[in-house]
Amino acid sequence: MVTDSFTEEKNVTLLDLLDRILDRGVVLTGDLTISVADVDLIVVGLRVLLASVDRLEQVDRGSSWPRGRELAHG
Amino acid sequence: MASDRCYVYAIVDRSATLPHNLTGIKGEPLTLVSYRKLAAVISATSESRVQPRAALLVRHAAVIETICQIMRALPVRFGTVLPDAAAVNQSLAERYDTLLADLNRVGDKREVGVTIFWESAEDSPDTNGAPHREHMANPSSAEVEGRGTRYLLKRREVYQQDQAERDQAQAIIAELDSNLGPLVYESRYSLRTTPRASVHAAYLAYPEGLTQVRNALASYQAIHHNTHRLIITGPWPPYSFVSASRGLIHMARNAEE
Repeated sequence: MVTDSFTEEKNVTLLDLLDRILDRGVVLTGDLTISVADVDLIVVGLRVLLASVDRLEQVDRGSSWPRGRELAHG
Repeated sequence: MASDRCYVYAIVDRSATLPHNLTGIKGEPLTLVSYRKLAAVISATSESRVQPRAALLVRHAAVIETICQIMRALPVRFGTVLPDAAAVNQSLAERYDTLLADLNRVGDKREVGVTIFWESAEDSPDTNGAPHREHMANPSSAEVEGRGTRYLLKRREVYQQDQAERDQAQAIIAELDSNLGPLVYESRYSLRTTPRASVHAAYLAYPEGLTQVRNALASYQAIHHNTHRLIITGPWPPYSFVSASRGLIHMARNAEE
């Protein structure tokens, strides 16, 4: 079903974004736990975030989030 | 309330010039804190902790995305707050060699994300029921079967199923590596253990080579569309390829080798 596939792809993209900015990238401090490395905080935060992809998109539209990151369909 | 804390977004060349219209979290202006050949892109914050709220996550990603489109840069993990500019400077000094090497290696490249799903549960690799059939075909073993034996047999079945999925995923990785060949500079993989997703991959390439990478992935998908499906995301800043990046950590391959 097209809608299900589209939703799945959007979710994968969102999870890819979160996976990258929360768990990858340069680590400059040994105590990054102060922000996000507390597991419960991440889990709760992600649940809230993932519960509302539409809300994230609203935030997206209200910011200068760069465009051009369209999904490529394999 | 102290506002001299520094929220860090990226590591760039010292000579970099930031775009004037780009602001950081909560609209704070971006500035550079330099150390030798490197500089950290920062904005002031009064908070020692930055919560992973949607608006902040989006702003963090947007700043990095914009910077990486116009200059060499290393993305810094979300939530990095240092007490002041001196602490940023010290952090750059402590990691200088690694950061400079990373900037030279991946700072001008982008990564493509690929998640591979089994097309359906029936298509996921299995063990052909071998252990179970073998067991059931042996009357003597059935006679002695107790709860402990059933448990161990079930455990073995699950283990073999898991091993079959891993073997299949490894085969997918090997074929993707073969297909992408010199198009990618490095690759990272992780094996998923969910019923549907088998592999998560990231490929590092020069921006001008991204179309070829996508085309190669599309060709792969066309061949294997009956058994598994690729969802391709990006291009992203090179989050997965900086040193000490977690997540995708194994099976790195450097195309320069």
